[in-house]
Amino acid sequence: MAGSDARLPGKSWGDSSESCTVLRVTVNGKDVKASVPDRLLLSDFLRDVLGLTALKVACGEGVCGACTIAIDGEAARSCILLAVQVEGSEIVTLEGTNAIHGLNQVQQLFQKHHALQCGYCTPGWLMTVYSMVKRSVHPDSGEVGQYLSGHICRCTGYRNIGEAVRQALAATNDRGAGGEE
Amino acid sequence: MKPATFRYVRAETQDQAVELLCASDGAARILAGGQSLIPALSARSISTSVLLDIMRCPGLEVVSQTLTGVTVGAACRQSHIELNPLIRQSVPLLSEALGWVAMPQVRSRGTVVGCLAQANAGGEVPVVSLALDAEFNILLRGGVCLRMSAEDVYGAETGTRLPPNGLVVSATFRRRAVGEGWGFSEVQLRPGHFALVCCAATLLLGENGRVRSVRIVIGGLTTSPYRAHRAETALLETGADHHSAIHDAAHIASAERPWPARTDLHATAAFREKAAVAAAVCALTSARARCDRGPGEANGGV
Amino acid sequence: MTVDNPADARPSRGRRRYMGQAVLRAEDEQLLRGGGGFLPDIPAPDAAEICIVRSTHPHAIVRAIRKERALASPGVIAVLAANDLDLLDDALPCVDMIPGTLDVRQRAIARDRVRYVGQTVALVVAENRYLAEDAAALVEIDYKPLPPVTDHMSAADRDAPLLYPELGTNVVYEVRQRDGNADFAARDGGLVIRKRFEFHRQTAVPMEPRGVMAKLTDNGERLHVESPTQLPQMLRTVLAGALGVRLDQIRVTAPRLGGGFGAKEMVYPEEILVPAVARKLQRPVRWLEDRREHFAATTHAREETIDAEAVVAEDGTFIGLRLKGWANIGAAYGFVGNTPITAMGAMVRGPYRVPNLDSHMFSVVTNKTPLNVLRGAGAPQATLVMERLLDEAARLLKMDRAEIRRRNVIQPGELPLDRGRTEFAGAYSVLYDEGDYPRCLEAGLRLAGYDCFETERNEAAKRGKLRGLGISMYVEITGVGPSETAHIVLQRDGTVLLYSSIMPVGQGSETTQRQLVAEELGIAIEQVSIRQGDTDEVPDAVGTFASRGAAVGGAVGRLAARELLKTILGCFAAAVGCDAAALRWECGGVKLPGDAAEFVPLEEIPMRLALFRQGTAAEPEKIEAKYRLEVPRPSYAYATHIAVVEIDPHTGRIEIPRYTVAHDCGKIVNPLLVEGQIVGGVVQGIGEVLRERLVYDSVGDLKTRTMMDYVLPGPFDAPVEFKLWHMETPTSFNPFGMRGVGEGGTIGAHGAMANAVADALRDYDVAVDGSGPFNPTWVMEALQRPRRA
Repeated sequence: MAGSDARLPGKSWGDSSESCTVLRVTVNGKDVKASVPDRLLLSDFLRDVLGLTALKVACGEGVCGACTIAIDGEAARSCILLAVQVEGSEIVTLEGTNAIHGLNQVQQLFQKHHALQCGYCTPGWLMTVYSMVKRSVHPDSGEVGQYLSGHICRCTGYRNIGEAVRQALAATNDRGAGGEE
Repeated sequence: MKPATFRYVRAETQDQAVELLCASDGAARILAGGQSLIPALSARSISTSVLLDIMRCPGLEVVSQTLTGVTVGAACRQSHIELNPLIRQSVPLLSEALGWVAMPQVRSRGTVVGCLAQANAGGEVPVVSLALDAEFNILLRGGVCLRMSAEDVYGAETGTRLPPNGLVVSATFRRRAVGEGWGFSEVQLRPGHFALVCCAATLLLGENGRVRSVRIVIGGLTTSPYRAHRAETALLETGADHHSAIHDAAHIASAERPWPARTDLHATAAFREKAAVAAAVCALTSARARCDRGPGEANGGV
Repeated sequence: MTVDNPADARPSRGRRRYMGQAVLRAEDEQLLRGGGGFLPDIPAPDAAEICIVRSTHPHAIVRAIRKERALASPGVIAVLAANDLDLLDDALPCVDMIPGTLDVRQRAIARDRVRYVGQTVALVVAENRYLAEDAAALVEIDYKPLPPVTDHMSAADRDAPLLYPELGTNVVYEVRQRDGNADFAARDGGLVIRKRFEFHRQTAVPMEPRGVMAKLTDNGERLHVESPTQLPQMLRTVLAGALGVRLDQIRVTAPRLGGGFGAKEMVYPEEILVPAVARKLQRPVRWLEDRREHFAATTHAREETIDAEAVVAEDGTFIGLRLKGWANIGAAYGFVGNTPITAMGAMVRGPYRVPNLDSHMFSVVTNKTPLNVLRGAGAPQATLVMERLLDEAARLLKMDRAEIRRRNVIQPGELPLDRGRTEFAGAYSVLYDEGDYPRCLEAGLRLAGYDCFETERNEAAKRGKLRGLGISMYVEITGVGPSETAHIVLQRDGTVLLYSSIMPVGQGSETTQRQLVAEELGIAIEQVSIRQGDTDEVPDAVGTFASRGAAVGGAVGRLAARELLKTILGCFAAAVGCDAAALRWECGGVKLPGDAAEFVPLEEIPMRLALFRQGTAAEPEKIEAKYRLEVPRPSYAYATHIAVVEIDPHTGRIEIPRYTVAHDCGKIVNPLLVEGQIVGGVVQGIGEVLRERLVYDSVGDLKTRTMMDYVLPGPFDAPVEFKLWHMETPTSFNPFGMRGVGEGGTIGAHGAMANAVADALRDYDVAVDGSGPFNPTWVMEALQRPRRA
């Protein structure tokens, strides 16, 4: 992952005279400064420039949720944002929520409930759960259904995901608004 | 699905944004949340030479009160307005309708005024703006301020009548009156998808229990939303049996559409005509139920 | 690796049992941490990016391709069309072309003619995808439009525009299936039901779109191709032929798939073109499909019209079925493009006797994206036909719907039952194996609360809602052959490595196969690792489809493990100098003969054997085994699906308060994964009949291009309550009594949902003859139909 001054690593832009802007943003706790093409999508910045490939681009129009990350604590779609739009923000991707080894509590719940099959959409769900936990969303609140409806999974049929998510939220609520470890 | 090339500019002030807009002579587009604009650029269904990001212009992030309304700045995010206590208290219809816009993960970035300017068919916020007599505050070149009513902005069958070289800096929504009920209803294929049709309604009863004022706005049935004036008239002064009056009014509301009903991939015009009736019944019924509760007790919320 | 029970982290000395255990998936750790290793995640900093120029015309002559403006675009490396690519034979394989039927195999790239919107016409190679798309917009193609034909019934007409004029027809494939007496007729008091069923066009939409990477290796001698395919070995074979090189000059590695569902059971144009570009340009290249492309470029499914005639006796027994049908297979054959329509004749009767059958099916080419299989591979349509006819017969005969099924269902004593010869799935005869269909039916009915349903219906009516119940039973061909291989190695560190022929597509194949190997060897699952998808490691495999991962892939892995045991014991016997028969394998290790009865656990065996060999001239042996399992006949899974739907007449919305599945997939390896497959399959099927629909306009342009256009099921479309019940009838057609389960959820859902919707609308004179979709507009139109007399 790029540390300080990054000058267009990742894919080359050849000798094109692409219009660029300097971007300063914090990603998973590290400050990043890079000159990025104006039209570079945030999803591509995170994946190709910073090598954070947990988020997936599955629809490119913000519908399916596979590209979900957290911006200033709130779940957002990286595929329908330009990198330059998040100047000054704090971005958290799934990599920033991982334990050093093994699985964090929410991930364990997903595994236990068989809430993933192919796993392609999974990083997106986990980031939505991350932001719900950050906001201390109650497992019984109507918001839960809204957040869940922001994701498409082709494999699981959703029931197991709903179980895992509700348990994750219940665990948070039990502990108080301390967020997940 | 990558956008074609453009230049990105962060406007420092509102006036500068307008200057740049005018200078570009139609080649620039305003970028607020971008939740409609960026995917369209990625699909290359639209293009632009300049994207003018207004999110850092001072003054656009403000929610303020006027004598009769609440003003929402152009940089205010949909999710923040949806959950804003002042909005929930004073403009509960807006808060409730915002809960139907896309999904929370999009509302975290999209703006309320962006919805108004984008005017997607079936868009919830334009519908609410018509129901709440919204005023659009537009900044033109040289510091000139223009005010347009929602009725003017959405008066054509498609698109908006917003001036191309103006910046909508805020929109002011009428504050809920004491005892006023409100309701919002939407018919969609499934949560997270567009509105096939939607309806916003407000209702105020007089001391005699008869309908003193009412607003019914239908969205999605036609490309632009419209106020159902005839349906409103039919409901005025109706009394105890609001239930059947509501049903009658809902039918009128659907039938009085000023433009042809829409057919698209997801539903036919015929379906939308009927669904609009259902949505109007639902919205009016909610509004009626909330009439008897005081402010702060009947909080819509999500 | 994650363990399901931390206390068992160390291999236990007791015999571990894994059959029937809900073992958590070890592969989840990588996936949950975001490191699944999918194709787009594989670092490729040196790879140039490809953007494909696709036809915007459904049918046209390609007169000229002008590249100058594109070549001048920033960052462009090359603009390539058919003439630039040195392809020897770029016909893409179709394995279900019956000899005598016409060859409309797809070519990797259009030369002089395009036949569908989305067809590959040219490729732009640039430094990155943004620049490649810029240039692609500048490629100028001179098309001479030809009249398109998109409707298969029109395309079958004599005077329809021809896609392949040299063939003289658009009807390219034909298959007949007969059983019993072809001249069956109605008897007195019986009835004849005639219906036309329409099945609309759908597509799989795996969450991971497609992609291909290719680069030269070994000093330009070899090509390494990476593609998330269900058929890596088939791809290698086809590539060698297309590029005119030896098999060993191609290495295909398939990363794990982000969903397949049959859409990746295909050799695609891009899988030939991208390697050809890598070879031509002598540099690594990558193509990642975006979703807009995907809807036009990835295979479609299900579109058919079936005319059915059912002859039913007075007592409700079905005497015979006559079917005539036409599949809209698009512009060319998919890899198994004729399979779904063939499945209609082969599997339509399901678990019902229906002694007489005359089925005549055709495939018709049209100017649409080529058709291939999608979860169920024609069985959803076949099941729906039978099940709707049963309900219709019940209605006309005023018979209970459960009762009419009881009278038709095959009894256990009749099984195995020969259903006649079929061309389906490789010229098998359809021979049903053991099963207990009546027990499955009764279990489903009981679990679903069938007997109390009328109360539910009335209660819902009081709330202004229309509730209906629909039954659907199917028999599914699973675990197909013709064979499969596995290779297993006892590694120096004492772990066992299985080289598998099955690709993980989400079904948990890695865990299932590891469970079976661990079970066979009596060791802990943590001691088993698995690799797949690399043709250098697994050169021969049939592949991942037709619900064969566990039943066949798992079986052959277990049998390879059994062979490995023989090898191990043989090595030990040689080393120790005793008879192999004197050694015993138990508790995951070798019990040596003698009074000491020394025990050597598996993980110590390689070291022990090495010690034995010290001081001798013997070469260290590779302790491995290979096994080839011949699968002369598939096994058949079956189930009863019962859907309860509730229709809101004001919004047209259909919800599913309860969905019940009673199923039999034989011996279950991992119930957690089995349940996941069933629930996932059901929800996919629900989505397909409620909303999913590909739309072409009248001039052959594909209108559904995004996930907003093509509406997939979301969390609120899943049934509110899901009841699942297993029965495990062993099958003698599989070495371990296993049947497949990956597709069954979708197969039953179409019929159950259609019958439930028809039941909810039983007071209306509305035909529910097909897969809908039963979207709100459809519901509204149904509710405007006159009431039934």
